[in-house]
Amino acid sequence: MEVLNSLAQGFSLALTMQNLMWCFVGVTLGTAVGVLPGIGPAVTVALLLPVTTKIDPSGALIMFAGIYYGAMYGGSTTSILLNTPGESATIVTAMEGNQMAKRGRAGAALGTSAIGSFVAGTLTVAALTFVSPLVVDIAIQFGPPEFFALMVLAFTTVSAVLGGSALRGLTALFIGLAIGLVGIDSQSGTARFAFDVPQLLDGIEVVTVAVGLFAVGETLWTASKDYKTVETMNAMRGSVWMTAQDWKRSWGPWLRGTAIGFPFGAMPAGGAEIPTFLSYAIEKKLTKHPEEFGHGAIEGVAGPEAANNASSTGTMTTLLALGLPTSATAAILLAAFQQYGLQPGPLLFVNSADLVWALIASMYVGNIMLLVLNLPLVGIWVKLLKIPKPMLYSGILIFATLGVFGMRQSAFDIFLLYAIGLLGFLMRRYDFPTAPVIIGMILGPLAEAQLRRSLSISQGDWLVFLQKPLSASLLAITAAILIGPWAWKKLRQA
Amino acid sequence: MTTTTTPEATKHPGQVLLSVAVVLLGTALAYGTSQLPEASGYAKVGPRLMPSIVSGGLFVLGLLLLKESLTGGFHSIDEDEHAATPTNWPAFLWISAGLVLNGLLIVTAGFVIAGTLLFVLSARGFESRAYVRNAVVGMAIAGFTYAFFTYGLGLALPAGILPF
Repeated sequence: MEVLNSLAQGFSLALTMQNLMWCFVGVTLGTAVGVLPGIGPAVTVALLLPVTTKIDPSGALIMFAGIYYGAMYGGSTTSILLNTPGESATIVTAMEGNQMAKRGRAGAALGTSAIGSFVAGTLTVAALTFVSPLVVDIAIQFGPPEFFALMVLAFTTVSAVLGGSALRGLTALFIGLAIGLVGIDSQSGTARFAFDVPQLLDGIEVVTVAVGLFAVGETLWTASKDYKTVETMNAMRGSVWMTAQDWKRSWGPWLRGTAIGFPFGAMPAGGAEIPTFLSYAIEKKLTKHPEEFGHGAIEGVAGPEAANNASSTGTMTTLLALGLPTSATAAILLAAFQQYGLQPGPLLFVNSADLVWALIASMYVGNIMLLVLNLPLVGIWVKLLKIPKPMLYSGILIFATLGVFGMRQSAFDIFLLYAIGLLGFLMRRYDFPTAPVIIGMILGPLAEAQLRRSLSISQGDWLVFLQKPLSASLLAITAAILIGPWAWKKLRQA
Repeated sequence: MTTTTTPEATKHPGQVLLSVAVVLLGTALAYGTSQLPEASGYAKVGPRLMPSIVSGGLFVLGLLLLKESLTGGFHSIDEDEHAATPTNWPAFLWISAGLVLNGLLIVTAGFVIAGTLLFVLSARGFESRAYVRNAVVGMAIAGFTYAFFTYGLGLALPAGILPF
């Protein structure tokens, strides 16, 4: 078993004192930012990108991945105890979890989501362990046209499928692509859209864009538009150690949620919203207690929470094996790899096998740490929710300037941060999704490279994308996603 | 409000402006693209290819947005709800001032002072007027991160006028 050998090798690296420490720092930070409103894993990883110059790659990437899946654990605490759901993937948890908390069952809700996240996390890391080498075996044969078609499909699904409007999602994606164009073209050395500003010649830093859109935009929005929302906190009542009845009602949803979440996360379709809603719908159908749904059914917390966590591991699989980020955080993780001159994708498993397997092994360890952090120690995180809004958001802004300035030591970037914050505010106001901007700016230059490579090979013939069966089918799926809903509407009208 | 000849258009001036901005961005990018050097070689793939696609895409998407904004407004946006919660511009300006001043001061006055000022101004945007307490809290956060990054990680942040 070659996989098990690689994994054992990975554990020997992940279990060194130093890497265990980075893993612990990552999952602890991840839980904290998952709990805190106003700051999420994407911003946190982005803010920590400057430390990549000081930490070795395995330590930093273990920490960053820990932040990503740790935030999935922390997010459920907020959505159960607070009446405002944190991130979109926890909307469903908020529905039932809040009701449970209102009925004095906050403990059981927190328990089932922490254990459900652990079950999903561990099972899906095992799936990642065995699936990613298979994906790598296939993907290693891909040429530039296949990769380009795959990226086009990912662009379409992350921007046109999720969210309220395909049009606004695609606009967000193209703004991200435009941001990605700024700077010196890596292939020809031509400066593009830099206006001879030295900071722009180096390109726009992903930290600045992510932190501007998510943290600054969010702060401006919360202060000036969201002042009416009064947050009420549910009391932390009931034991997190679930009753026998709770266990009996939870394990089915955990497993089903895991089975739904992983493939959704692993497909270039990305996003945790669809699998959580799907899991919720299925549990509502299968339950023996339909009368409890909408009033705090434990199945409605257990399933979606597992699905949420499973999809984040699925996203990691696609990122590592194909080099394809399908969430904002995954895109920033990709940027972290690039800081070290590494490129996720099939070749990473060949060229940096040690690093990849240490990272995968660390995810097993991290999930155990998270179970301890989020079950017996959940009371600590609940206290974070009591930080008053002015302190919380102002503190986030200090960290924002720290990360942005720390990257290049340039005050120019602080002004750019504010400008992108204004863009984030506008996008929030008119309900444009922001994740496609990040994915577009990071994946855009990679897609451009594959596109130009494909056309160089074909001597400028665009038909190259249709002559390869795989890229032709991927592009056909893309076209169906883009034109399908519109054509369907026209057909129904006719 | 009195009815005008194009009631739908006047209903969503913000949406129309935003759509026009996207069209203009696409146009500006297209102009910038035309200034880039022509690709050499017979394959005709060079630094102009991707910008052409992106500028064309933004131009078309902007036009589609403009059409939506003029015919009933952006899909699934509740403008009435937004009208019910008017933007608190003073809050917006306090935070903006904090960030702009931070950019102006971070190198000269230093990270800790610029950060403290940002904290106080932003907290004011969130209606917190306990200036002295906020300054202490802000300085503690900025000071701690400064010390941690400069002495702990060796990532030097600007000390500015402070001696350490």
